[in-house]
Amino acid sequence: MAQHSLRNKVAIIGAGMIKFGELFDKSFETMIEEAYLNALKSVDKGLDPKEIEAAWLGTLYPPQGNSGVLLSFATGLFGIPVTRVENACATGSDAFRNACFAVALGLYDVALVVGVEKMRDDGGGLIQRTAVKQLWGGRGVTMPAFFGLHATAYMHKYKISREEIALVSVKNHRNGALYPYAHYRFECSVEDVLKAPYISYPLGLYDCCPVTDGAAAVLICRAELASQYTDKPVFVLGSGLATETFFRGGDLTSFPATRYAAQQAYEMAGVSPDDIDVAEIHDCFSITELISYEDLGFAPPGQGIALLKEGIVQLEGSKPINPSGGLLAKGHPIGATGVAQIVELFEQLRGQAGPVQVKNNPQLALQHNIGIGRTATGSVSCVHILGRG
Amino acid sequence: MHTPPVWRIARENARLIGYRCRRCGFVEFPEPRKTCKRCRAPAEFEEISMGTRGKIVSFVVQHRLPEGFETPLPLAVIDLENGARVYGQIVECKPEELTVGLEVEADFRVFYDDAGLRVYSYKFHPVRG
Repeated sequence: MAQHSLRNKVAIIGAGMIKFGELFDKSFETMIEEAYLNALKSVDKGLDPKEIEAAWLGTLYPPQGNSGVLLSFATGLFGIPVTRVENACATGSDAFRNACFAVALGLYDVALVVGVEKMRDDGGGLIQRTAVKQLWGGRGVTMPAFFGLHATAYMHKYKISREEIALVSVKNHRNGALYPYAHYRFECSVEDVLKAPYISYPLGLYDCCPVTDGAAAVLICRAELASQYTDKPVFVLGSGLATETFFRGGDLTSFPATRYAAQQAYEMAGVSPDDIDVAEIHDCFSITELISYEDLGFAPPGQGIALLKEGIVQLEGSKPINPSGGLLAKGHPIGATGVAQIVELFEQLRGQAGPVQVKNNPQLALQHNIGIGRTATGSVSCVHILGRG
Repeated sequence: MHTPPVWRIARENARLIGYRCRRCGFVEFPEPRKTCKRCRAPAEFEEISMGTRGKIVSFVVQHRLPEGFETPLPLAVIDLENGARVYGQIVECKPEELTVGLEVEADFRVFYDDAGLRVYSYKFHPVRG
């Protein structure tokens, strides 16, 4: 077994993002630059860019070229290692994870992580990337279809209705309406969700996250050095990552990759699901959030809906989930998503989340992505656990 | 000739031939492999017929697809009788007739044009009578 752990070796000392949305007036590099400058500005005692010794860039569909040099062009940070990471919807969080490895090892004192995606310039969105010429690899399967398959199976097994699943969208749009960085800042009702056109039955329009442009950035350092930069660092306690495919089995009512990644992260952090005070979890579709409550250990199988009905996961609840509005309201610029979740949790743990600040004085936070790859036949999950210093 | 991705699996695709792990029984399809996804290890496989009947594990009805697809399009994950799990388009079935557990049968159909040549593969329809 492994001899080393990430626990308490890495501190987040700065975090920033840009308002997500249809950013036709901002280029890919401009978005990175703004998120980076916001992260720099957030460092309480200041940080000289010359102190940044390495950087990681998480992005799935860069407009030109495929290397880390895009980050250098956007920030002026040339002459240092810049690594580009791509891992489906875990792209941003895996970029963060790999930066943590290098800092924990002591290779670098300070590192930058940027996640970015420009998705609106191409009007077709991801549905245009549907597997068209696949014989057995899922011809006609889209992102909504992959998660819709889980919705159908879950609804059948646990006798859950579309009305009940809609509570996820209602909650997250309510939070998103308050969150200054969200793409969609409107509330919606259960009726709105049910009346919206179908995208991939049983998922309708408001069960799906929008197609969004955005960028987010965090600055990390070796834990021992954190006090040079801030009196309120946030520490990385646990990290996990795993892959899975439903071709290996299962009844499609769970995302086992999340279960594996969460177990790795909880074990590393030495905490249990009950200890988590606030979480940003992957609600690319309403059903994804509901199933993820169970995969992350917040509720037993088939009982996630109770967290919504009892108000536990609402902004005012005892375990608020997706105070930012989640992907459903904030948007899902894929490479930026995981990093933006970490930005949000950094602010929550420091009590600086403004209108969406949770009221339970959070000590421990969890970040989660579940994404799909190989034409929607396999999934990848990434989980981080963060704690207040 | 068809493009390489179609040519490589022509035999398995046309005859629904799969490969079963001799250790755990996992059925690999359509490519023959030497490592098993369920054992997570190198393994020996035997060639099998996957059978033509199966049951729907879950399904969706696609309403938004690129050009080249007719919508609404029912799509399912199907467990075939000899142990393989596959994706399949469902035909000859109204969307409201779809249920988890529905028995379906494979039917050889035109799939798409590949560099000017027709590609055939299997779609599934409910077992009748």
